[in-house]
Amino acid sequence: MILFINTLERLALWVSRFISSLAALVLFGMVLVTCIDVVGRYFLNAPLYGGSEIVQVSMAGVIFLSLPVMFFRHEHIVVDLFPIFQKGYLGWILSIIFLTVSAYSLWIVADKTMFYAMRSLEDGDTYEYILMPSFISYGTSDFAPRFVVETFIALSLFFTSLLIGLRLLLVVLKPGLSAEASVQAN
Amino acid sequence: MDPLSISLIGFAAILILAFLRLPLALAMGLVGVIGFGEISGYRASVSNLGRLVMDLGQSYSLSVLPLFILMGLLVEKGGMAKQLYRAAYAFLGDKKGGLAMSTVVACGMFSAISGSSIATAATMSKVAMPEMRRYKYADSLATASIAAGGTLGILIPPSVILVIYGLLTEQSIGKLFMAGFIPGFIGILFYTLAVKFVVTRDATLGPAGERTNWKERLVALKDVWTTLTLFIFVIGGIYIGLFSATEAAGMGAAGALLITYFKGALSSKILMEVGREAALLAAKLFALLFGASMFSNFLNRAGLPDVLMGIINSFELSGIAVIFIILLIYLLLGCVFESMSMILLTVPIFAPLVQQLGFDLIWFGILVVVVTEISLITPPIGLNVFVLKGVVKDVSVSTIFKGVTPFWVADIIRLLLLTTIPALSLFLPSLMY
Repeated sequence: MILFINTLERLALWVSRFISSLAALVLFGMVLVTCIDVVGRYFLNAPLYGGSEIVQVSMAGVIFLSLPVMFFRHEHIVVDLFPIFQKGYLGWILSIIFLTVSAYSLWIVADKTMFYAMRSLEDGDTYEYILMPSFISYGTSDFAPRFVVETFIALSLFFTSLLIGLRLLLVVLKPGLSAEASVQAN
Repeated sequence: MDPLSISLIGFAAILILAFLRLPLALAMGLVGVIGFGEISGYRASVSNLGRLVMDLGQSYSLSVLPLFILMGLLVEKGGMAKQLYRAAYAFLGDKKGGLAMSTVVACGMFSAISGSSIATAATMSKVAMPEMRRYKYADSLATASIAAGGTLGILIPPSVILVIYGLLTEQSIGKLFMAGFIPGFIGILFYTLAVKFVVTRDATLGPAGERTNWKERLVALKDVWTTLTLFIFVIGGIYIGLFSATEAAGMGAAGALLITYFKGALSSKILMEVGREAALLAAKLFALLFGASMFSNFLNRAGLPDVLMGIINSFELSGIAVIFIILLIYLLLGCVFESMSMILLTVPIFAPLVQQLGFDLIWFGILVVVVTEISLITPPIGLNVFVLKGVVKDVSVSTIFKGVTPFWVADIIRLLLLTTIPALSLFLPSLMY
């Protein structure tokens, strides 16, 4: 069992490193898109078609690719006034309570965003500029459907919730260590 | 329950949860959802949060954040801090306390390409501290000039905090940036005077360095032209309406990338590290934004702004008295709260109030950022002081806080000045479009 969980942890670390590299690439893509847009507009008289929408979609990519990693590594902005609350068994118990609450809340929000994504699928909601790749046929619109990005957001939140669950398991198995300490252990 | 009590309970709950070290984003979000749920039902409350995550996560105006963060991180890696310091030293180094003054000026210039105070303090401490040690500067003056100078990072544009403030209050980010310029400049001036005050009282604390001749000065200036060009390009571009804040941030990040590359400080490994770090930092901010927006939705649903307005009317307070009370609250909160959290928690409460009283929200934003700067060097948890402590391990926190006192006083004077003369903040934005 312990062995299995350790393997799971290594896997999660590997996956989170991989997706955070993806987030970095999307971010560099965003830089490129804004530059092409501006240079195109002022020097070539040809702004990038739908540039601002591409930026919006990429930003969702950057944020929601990084969110699971951030929660798994417990990289939060915390009020650091009373370090006592992360030490020893008190820290351990608080970590367990808070991780449980976090995993549950994230799951609820993920569920709700998934609901919105599905509704936008039914409504056939599309982007105003981003075109549908021509090799996929979908509905009657030429424009890309919004639900793809929305589903991605929901999946990211589900995944975040699962990773918090894994962190919770790791903390539970090491009594006396807070979530912060558990992260530092790897 | 009446709006005031439910809001106060919510606020207290966040404080308790945050002190127990629940991540602040979750504390605010959780209290927001429960509070909203108690008023309008939990279905509506969760829907509200889901919608909010979906919308903020794809908002165009927020995309400025990851881009500016990336630009700042690249600039840190690019070794520009050292050149900025050398240039400032070339002009000020031979004066009494000259190295500390150079530190302040270099911090100011670094702020012009970085949007974060902590980054400014951390970067400058690695460059300026060894130099000041070499010239036998007192630890208190040396560390304090970096900690205080670093706070300018969030006032002189670009500034991550001003972007967040602009989004919370629906003010133009370009105008906010312009508004921060003169107050930031006054900040540099006042900090320099604070250094002068310290060395006038005791010259041994900050001896003069060597004199640099004009030829060397010009050489030092030549080294910083790229950095200055980047600043003028990014901020100037916003100012004359050449591009939006997001586009400016994108171009700025590209510029920083090129500069760092040509300085030879950029391998593909470092590049990926910087990218990952920027994305992660952005996600941290977004988590906070989700939580704070939910909390602010709850307060609005509870009707807190109206209640507060009623209280102000019943005491027949004048507008400026309210502003001073708010600033006092900020100074107190600043003792315990980290800057970003403080702004996210309080701006949704105070901004509607300030607006109803007929004040300009751009001006108020600058005041908020200046009190936040003060909080960064206020005991017991002034964050910049701890950044310094992290880099310069052999100096005690109390020494740094003691050294910071004259700078803190200079900050209070600046705050009073900016509060009583709004034109200092509003003149530059008024010239836009």
